Amino acid sequence: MSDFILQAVGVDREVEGPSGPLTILQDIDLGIAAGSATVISGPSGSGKSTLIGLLAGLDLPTRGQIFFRGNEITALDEDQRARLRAGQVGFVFQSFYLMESLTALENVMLPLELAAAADARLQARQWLCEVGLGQRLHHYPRQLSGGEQQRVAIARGFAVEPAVLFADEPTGNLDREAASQIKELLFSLQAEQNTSLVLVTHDLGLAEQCQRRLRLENGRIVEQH
Amino acid sequence: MRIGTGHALRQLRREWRSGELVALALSLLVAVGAVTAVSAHGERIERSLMRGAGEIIAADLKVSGRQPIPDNWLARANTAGLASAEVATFPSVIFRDGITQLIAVKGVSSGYPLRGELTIRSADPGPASDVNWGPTAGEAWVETRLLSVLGLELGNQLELGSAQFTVSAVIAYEPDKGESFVSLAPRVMVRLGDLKKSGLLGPASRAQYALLVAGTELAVERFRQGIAPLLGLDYRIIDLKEAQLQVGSTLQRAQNFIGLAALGAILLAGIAIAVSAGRYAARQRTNVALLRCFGADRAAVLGLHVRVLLLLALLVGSIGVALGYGVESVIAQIARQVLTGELGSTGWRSAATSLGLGVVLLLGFSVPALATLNTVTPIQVLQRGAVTAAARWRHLYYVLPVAALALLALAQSTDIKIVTYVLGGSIAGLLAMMGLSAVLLRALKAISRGVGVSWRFGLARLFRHTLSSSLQIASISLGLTIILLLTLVRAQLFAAWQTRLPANAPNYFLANIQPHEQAGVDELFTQAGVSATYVPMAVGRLVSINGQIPDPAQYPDARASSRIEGNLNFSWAENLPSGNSLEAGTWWGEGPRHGQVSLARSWAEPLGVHIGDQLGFQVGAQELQATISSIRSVTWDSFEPNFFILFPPGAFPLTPRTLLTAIHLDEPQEVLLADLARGFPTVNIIDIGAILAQVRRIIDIVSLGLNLVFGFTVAAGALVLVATLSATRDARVYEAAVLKALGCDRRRLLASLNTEFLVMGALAGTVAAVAAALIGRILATRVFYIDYTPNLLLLLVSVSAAVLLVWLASRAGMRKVLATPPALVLKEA
Ligand SMILES: Nc1ncnc2c1ncn2[C@@H]1O[C@H](COP(=O)(O)OP(=O)(O)OP(=O)(O)O)[C@@H](O)[C@H]1O
Ligand SMILES: [Mg+2]
Repeated sequence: MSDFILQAVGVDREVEGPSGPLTILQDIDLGIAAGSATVISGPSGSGKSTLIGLLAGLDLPTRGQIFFRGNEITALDEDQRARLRAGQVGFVFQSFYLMESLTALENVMLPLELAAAADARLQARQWLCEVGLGQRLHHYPRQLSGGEQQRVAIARGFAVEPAVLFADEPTGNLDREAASQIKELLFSLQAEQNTSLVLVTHDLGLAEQCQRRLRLENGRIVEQH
Repeated sequence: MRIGTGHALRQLRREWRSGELVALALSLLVAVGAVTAVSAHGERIERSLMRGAGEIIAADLKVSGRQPIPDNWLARANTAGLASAEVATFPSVIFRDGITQLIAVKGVSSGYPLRGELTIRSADPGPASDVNWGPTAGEAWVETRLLSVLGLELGNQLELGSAQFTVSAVIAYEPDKGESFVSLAPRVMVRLGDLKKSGLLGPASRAQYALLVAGTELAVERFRQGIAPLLGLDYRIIDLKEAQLQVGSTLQRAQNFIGLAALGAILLAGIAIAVSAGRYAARQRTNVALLRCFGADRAAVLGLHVRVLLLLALLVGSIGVALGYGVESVIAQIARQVLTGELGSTGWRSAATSLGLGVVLLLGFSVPALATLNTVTPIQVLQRGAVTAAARWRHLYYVLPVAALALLALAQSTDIKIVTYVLGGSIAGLLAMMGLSAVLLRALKAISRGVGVSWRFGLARLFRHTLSSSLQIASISLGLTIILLLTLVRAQLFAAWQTRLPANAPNYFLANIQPHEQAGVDELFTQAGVSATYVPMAVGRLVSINGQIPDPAQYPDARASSRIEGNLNFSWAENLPSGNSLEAGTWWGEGPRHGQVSLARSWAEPLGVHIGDQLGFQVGAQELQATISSIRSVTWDSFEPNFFILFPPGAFPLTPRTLLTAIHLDEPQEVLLADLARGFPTVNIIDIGAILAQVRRIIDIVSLGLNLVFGFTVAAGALVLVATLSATRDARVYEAAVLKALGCDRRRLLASLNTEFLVMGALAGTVAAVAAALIGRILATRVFYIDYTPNLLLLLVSVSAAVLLVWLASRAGMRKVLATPPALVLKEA
């Protein structure tokens, strides 16, 4: 049990729909081992984003418990969960979500600063070099291509050397060429850092590279490998 | 969990470059600029008036009391590098050839007067000359009427106590004649040293002593601060307001008006800040969700944005302070050309307070918007439509702008009445305006069924969110209301106000007219076309309060002593005189009225007497006990003869009375005064033209001050408009893209947008006109005590101005809206 860095026990998620409560996740039990790579797939609307939102502590389930490193995050309030995330959890999103008003370097520095890293600037610079953007440190997101923006986001995600990195369709907005570069980067960094990766994707090629595969349909886990 | 200030700085820099903070910064600039300019201008005017007023007390500062001035105070003044003089005044009586005459003796030391000049005549009648010295030892200078009453001539001897004086000059003008310039016992002015020898200045003399000092502003201020702790109950410092009640009350009203006007600019800037901050916060939501994902808690996020704004406030505020001083100095330059006399200098006192107030304003008005960022949940990064957390106590944040406004209001005007009106009025007003806008929107919705498609689209945008539309309309209305108040309503109010101080306001007082002389004096003036009303008056003393002989030492207010120990002028009146209004009690009616007295509030206050108290008065040999039956407030700036103390007709039937009148003489008519002096030598002519000129000068300065404020208010109003329109621009751009994608052409899109702005402008204009009319009326009746009837012109001007302004302001964003490519809908989901 304690091998799992993340664990969900009997998790349900309901939302208020126009015609009464709507269950969007049901009976989710899962454990994610430290340093593993897990892929979540399933049709649109099956609850993938909802699930990783819950696992990351961004939201609370209606029922059930979620543990992060043995701490029950479902028992914490929102600010406590936020503080727990700092320096422990990284994110990569489909639509990048870089801060428009910050340069690539400043974007990467941000989570480092939040985790009170002493040499945020230096580390951020190294991470950007690592993802191949050493020449674009002072460019703003608008001045970068989609693939480049996602690489900044990956650098930002790994910068704090998180225990878990969540990626919600990281290649969804990219062409095939850029997508395969991002894929490679993601897995090489995951292996190098020994980070637990939780990945949502439709990309079958991407899915095959993961040790564990979950498939969601209508809010239930229908398949696990 | 903290977010470093370095990050706050970067955020500020980038937001600044992206133009997001421009509206916020401009609003702050205008507010700080307005506050600085107004307070710097106030400082300058205050200093200039304080110097101008010097003439009225013959010094820059006067310390007055019932005890002789201690010698070391004089030494203090001399070591401070100040010129100084001593004065003692007291009522006395002269007997000569069986005639008894009450006189007002004034002993002056060498150096008197320190400011202003005496006008004297060494031959009577003869040429007048202005001198800046007083009588020398053994000389007595007197008012001309004393000569005729006592049958004296220049060069004769006059006995005062044990001392003999030679009457060597006639005093035609005395700058520091007194607080009440109608003190009617004739003056006898001699050397103070002679008086001390005469034995008249003993402890029983009821004398009033004064130390006069004059010098540089700095030295005078130092002296004031040094002497203040030594004054005790026996002495007081006399400043502008006490020196000149008339000028003081005009100035007070004027300062209130400027403060009020400045509050308008501040309030508008606050609204612009609130609206811009709302837009800023809306744009920050994604960033905040991200920060929360990365582990920042709510306090850290709020702290970050507060710091960003604080940095902005300091940066922009400093520029605002510089702007304020710049604008003020330009106005002062203009004032120098328009006005005669010195204009004083500004101080730097305003800079720090203005900067502080800027910070208060920015934070007070933007924190409610920033607090909405606490409702952002991190899950929004994954799901756009995720519901926001309900913010508890959200409405409590609206206390902040109110508190900020209250603080700013108190800094602008110490008049609690005005502050309450403006604060209560603006909050209630904004809510009422929203209500009225909502009602008008509803009505419009009901009657607008069946209009064309472009119109429908335009109106639909307004109808969809009645709450936010009515807030938007109300904000524009509020701005417009203030601008209307400062232009149209101000002009109308000022016109009404100025009629109270007409160009033919009296410039001479004629006093001491004997009843048998009235017909003759009146004839002299009516022949020349000058009309006058005559008011009876007599001189007496206050001898008891509720049966007790009052002791001035018992009263904390030093003004009490002049009421207890000095001569009092009083009059009789059947009806409440114009310029007077009842504050308490009742005016005597038809019933028994004997034994009643009516007091002016400013006279009664230092004595602490109220309705129902018994006062004993003595006039000649008669004594009268009277109950205070009413307290009046008196408008002194009308320059009509007014009395602190009024009795019903019939009180003191045996008392000899004289008559007092106020007349206005144009320059060529002033020869009449010579005829008057020849025909009626005992009539006392008091020239109040000089005082009037000063009042006019104040009004001129005040008008300039108002123009200064007005510029800032217009700028702030424009910012509110631009901020409100740009707050909804993002939504409009997106809607335009959707409409275009659905096949709506440019022309129809434009028509729908124009409809929206036209209707918005018309509604805002209507609401503003209603509000301005109401506020104008309240101000007229409650603050300025004048009649004011709003007219249709107000509505017309208001609506057309609003439509025009909204249309103009909408042009800025219009091109972007119209040029939006329909492809935008594909990018943002
Ligand atoms: N706050 C909410 N209120 C109402 N319904 C919601 C809410 N959040 C999610 N849903 C619904 O829950 C279901 C799951 O949403 P989720 O975003 O998790 O799907 P997904 O698997 O990530 O889909 P996609 O592949 O399209 O991103 C959807 O039907 C969505 O409409
Ligand atoms: Mg999803």
